Amino acid sequence: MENTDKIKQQAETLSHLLMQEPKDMDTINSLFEEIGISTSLVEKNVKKRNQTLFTKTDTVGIWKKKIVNGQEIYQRDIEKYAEWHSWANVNQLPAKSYKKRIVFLGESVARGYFYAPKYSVAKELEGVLTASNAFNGVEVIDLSKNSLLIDGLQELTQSCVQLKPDQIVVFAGNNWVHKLYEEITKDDYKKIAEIYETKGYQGVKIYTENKLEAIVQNYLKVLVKTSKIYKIPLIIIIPGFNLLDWKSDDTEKILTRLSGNQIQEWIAAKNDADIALAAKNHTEFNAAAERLVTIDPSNPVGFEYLAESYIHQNKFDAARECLDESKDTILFGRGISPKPRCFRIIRDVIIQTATERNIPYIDVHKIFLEEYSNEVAGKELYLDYCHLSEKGIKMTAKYTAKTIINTLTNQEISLDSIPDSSIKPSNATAAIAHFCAAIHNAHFTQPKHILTYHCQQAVNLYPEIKDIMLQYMNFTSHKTSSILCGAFEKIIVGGQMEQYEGGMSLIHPKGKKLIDIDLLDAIVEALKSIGYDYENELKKIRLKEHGITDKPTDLLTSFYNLKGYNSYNTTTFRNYLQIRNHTKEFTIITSGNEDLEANIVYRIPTYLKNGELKIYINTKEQLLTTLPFSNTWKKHTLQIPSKYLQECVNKIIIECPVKYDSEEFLKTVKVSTAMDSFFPVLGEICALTITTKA
Amino acid sequence: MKVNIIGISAFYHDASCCILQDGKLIAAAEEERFTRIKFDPSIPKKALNYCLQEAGITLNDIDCIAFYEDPRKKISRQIWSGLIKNDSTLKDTNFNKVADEIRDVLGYEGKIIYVDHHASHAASAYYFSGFNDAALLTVDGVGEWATTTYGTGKGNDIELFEEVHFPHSIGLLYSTITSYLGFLVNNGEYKVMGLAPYGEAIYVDKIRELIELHENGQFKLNMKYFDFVKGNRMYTDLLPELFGSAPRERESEMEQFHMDVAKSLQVVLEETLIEKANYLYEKTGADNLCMAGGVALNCVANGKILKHTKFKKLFVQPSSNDAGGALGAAALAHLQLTGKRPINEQIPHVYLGPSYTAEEIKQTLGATNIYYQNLIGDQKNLMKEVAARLSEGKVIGWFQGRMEFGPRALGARSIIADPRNSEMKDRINAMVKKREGFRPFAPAALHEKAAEHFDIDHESPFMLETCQVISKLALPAITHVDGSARLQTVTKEANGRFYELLKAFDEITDCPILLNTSFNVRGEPIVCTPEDAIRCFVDTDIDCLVLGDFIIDRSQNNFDLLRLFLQNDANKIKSGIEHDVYTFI
Repeated sequence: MENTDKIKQQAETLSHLLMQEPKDMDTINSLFEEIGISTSLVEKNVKKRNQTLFTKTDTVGIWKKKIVNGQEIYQRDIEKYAEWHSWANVNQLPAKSYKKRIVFLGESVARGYFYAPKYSVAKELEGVLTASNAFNGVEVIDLSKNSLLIDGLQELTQSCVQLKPDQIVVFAGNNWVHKLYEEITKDDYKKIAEIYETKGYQGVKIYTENKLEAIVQNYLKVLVKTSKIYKIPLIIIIPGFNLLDWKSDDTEKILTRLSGNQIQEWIAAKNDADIALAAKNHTEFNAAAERLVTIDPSNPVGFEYLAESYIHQNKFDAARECLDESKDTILFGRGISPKPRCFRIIRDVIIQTATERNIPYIDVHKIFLEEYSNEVAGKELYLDYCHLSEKGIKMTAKYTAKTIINTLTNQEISLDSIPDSSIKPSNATAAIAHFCAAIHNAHFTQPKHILTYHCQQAVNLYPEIKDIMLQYMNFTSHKTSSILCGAFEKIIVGGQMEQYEGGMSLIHPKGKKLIDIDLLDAIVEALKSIGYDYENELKKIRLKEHGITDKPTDLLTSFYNLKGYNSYNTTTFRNYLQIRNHTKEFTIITSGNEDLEANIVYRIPTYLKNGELKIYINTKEQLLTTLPFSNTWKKHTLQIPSKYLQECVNKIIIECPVKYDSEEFLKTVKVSTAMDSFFPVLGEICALTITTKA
Repeated sequence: MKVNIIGISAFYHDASCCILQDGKLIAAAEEERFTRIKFDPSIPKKALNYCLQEAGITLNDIDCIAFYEDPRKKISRQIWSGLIKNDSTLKDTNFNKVADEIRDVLGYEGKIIYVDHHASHAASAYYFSGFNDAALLTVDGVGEWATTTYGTGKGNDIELFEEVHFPHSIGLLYSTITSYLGFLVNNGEYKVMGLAPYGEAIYVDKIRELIELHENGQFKLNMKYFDFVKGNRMYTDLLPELFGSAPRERESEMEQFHMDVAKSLQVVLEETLIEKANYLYEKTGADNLCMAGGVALNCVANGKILKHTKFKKLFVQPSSNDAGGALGAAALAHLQLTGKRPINEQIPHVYLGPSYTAEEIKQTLGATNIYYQNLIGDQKNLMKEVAARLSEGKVIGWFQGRMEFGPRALGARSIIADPRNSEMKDRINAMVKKREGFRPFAPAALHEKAAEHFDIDHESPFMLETCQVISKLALPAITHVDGSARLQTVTKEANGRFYELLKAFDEITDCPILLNTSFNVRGEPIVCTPEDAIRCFVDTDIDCLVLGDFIIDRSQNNFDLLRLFLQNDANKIKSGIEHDVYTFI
């Protein structure tokens, strides 16, 4: 290329043109041609992952092939030490023997998350198979792994044949949506936005489900081919979902962009539903819930309300149907890290493929349904969204054992003829599982009654768990990163929290440490029930670490701003907080006998013409101030008299305006993410600090 | 109402942010220190938050954001280089990323001023030099088009009167040889400088083959040896052919040949800079010279420039790299908005980052299992205790006051040790720095006693020049193979605590000097918060950590478990830029 002034000048002109929107592509193309840098519109080289179907390898997961005494065994690879805690705690996979060998692949649900490594689905399955006496020796090789994604599962599916199994069992489907998120492009967002305008939510749902379907089919193709080539029979277990007791969080419930005055109608219906529910007026509640679903079927709130109404009417099938719809609404782009789930489309594609190919499958949703036909299954079977309780594991394992026996012996046996396994988690293990579940539920903003249930179960099963709970209470209340806290160290040294990924799941994501108000309160209540009162101690430590002083406390930090990890932090993308819910809460910790002063810098998007921010303290009964419309940053100081405050935990509630002009919104929005396109920002805060009043 | 101007450098490497309040530099910090991503190039969200907090203002109080580059000019250079192609993605590519991110990510609504990259460098040197009249020389890899500029600063104004344009670049010549010698580009240049004294300048002719000096300020690279324009690698196959040796593999053994190439490069760099500085002197007749740009961090060359030109005084911007560009951009924006230059004084220190109160540190430590000694309110004893440990050969993590801005640790976030100990260099390398053995450590000395030990007659507060060690004391840990050292002189005014420590050490050892290296491990940014310091301390074998008023001795703690946790922490640290080739985009 010649370094001439002319070319430089043309490059300057081009840069000018490229920075204009919309771009004048004709002039740009001809200028590029003139410069001679690139004369044709070439397709950008998109790097595609080279996925060879059957690669030769000598590893299976974290285990590496080794010949010992002429026998081919697989030993844990020290190079993969960091991954060990995500897999079964087994150092060596033995050489194939006379025993029937079942390889058991899957995600955390297959591991028996919260129980593993002390108790697991694979152990239970082996226990049932052994008890059945169907085989002259049987072993289940546990190849399940926490957070196993579909690509990893595919790799594992292909490599597991090295272990010469007689049967492959795959228990997965919860983490497959990640691939969809990974593959979605800017063009897809544009397309989705177009579809939404013409076909609404249903159109978007079909578009994303089609993409997800293709991903599932790709994997199933590999799975079936592997089974066929190596002549190893296959069983698929389709995970279920905790329909009753796993609730959508605030991030998943953000308000969708709706046309006309539908958003106001939706808010009104929500208010009506809340009032009717409080008044136990079930007819009104049902009507309001139906309105919510009709106005916005992409928001889980309506489905959850309607399900509640159906349950009250003993219409359990309808309730399950609603909750299944609710579960799938995150496909619409809700949430930053929504929890794993097996979407209906995944379940349908597996069932269809399995039926066509004559592959036996177990649909966990269905087997639980058989047992719980007169209610919606919830916390008895699930510890969180998808991970099974001991009861859930035992039921799943028994159905799986039955299918394995049928497959490998060609004999139909009844479920009742299979005896229970002799395996059972100890009370300590079960209690820890419940405590881990309480923590996990809390970190994903589940309702207090669920946290209370699990904490209570934990202390009932194993009162000695008190010490662990107190250590947890201590380190989570400190500002210092949990990993450095002495109490955290003590918990890990104790070894009991091994069931929570070696205890490492107790470490919060960077910049997202929570103070777990509801969880710690639930712990205190549970401990009270067995005769220990730590209420004052908790108050003391909260006030010491987080109490408001004469130095400004930044309420935008995670302690006060976030309730769970599935939240947008101020530093996730933008330097300021964007509110997409009707209301937003901030936690403040104060003695309750000092007046406070808060400083807020806020703005309201132009499309919310003349909207105001309302600020309340503790309840919506107590309005502190109304901030006028400003589409540029505006500072406001507000006073919070001590008479409105209680000792220790209080909350500031900000209510955003919702009456926006959809046309105006579309003019200003940039379609780069689903979040920006479908969920209008209702208020923004770049600073929110609070001090005691001088 | 105060005039609040934010300066930003980003999207290249070393993103940073600073704030000028009524022309006074209130705060400045690199984004990497907060995100813990080495060389983080992303828009400095966290650094901005810190600057606003330090100045006690919020977003709506900002009068202007000054960005250290002109995006349009930069895009035109990228088009010229072929880095922006007319492919199918062009239509949807956002070429207004800078403005969009300032608006959308930072949420800033007001005026944005774009300042040319080299003007930012030049301003960062001149307006913080305290000079009223100076010649300006900026040298780096590349900004928009310019790679080297010549100018003058007089009173309020600066003028750049000549530029050398990309691809002809002294910085890129240096980076290319850095890459050839098996080091990371944008990271290993200072290692090459440290390697040079071990070599003989026997490849000077070959290096001269790479660069042709022309009239006035101009020079040209012999482009047949360079491949960086395409953005894939730094050199063509002809470069190894020229030297008759294959490129050194990263982390492989260092041979005499590599040292000789490094030395030859250093010699040619110095020759070139001296010639161009002489030209600048002839053009301007100024007594004072201000320098900035990545190449100005070559402290060995800086010393030679002052010695071999007619300039009487030299001011090198302590954060000469791109991070410092934020300062210059803010200074020029201040001038544009107010008609006045920023406060006319030499930047007194670079302790412009966050600090933590004793109470905050105590709160952090209180949550841990760490055994510590609390010396709040007893500074004398604190210094005595630390000095005693140093004299016993202990290596100390020293965390005090506000964090430094710029690449050097100057006694706020430092690892310090006794420079008289012949094993100290290897010990620190083994226990914490894990870096190449050839690289020297730098000394910090009491200003008033520095001349007794080093051949220097002026202050060197920023560790930006080298001088010969003339001490009667044996100082093996800080003396380079050629008898030189990269000295920091410490005054009570600039860093009272560090000064007191040096004094306390001098009192018990008769040595007013300490080894001073940055408080970080290889591949990580320098520590910022007390937590960062604890993590770094735990993860290394440093003997003792002094966190403000608190002393933590390794011997009194068992960190085995905590170390294991930290090693398995999912929140891993990473590098923010590509090191195989200069980051042009």
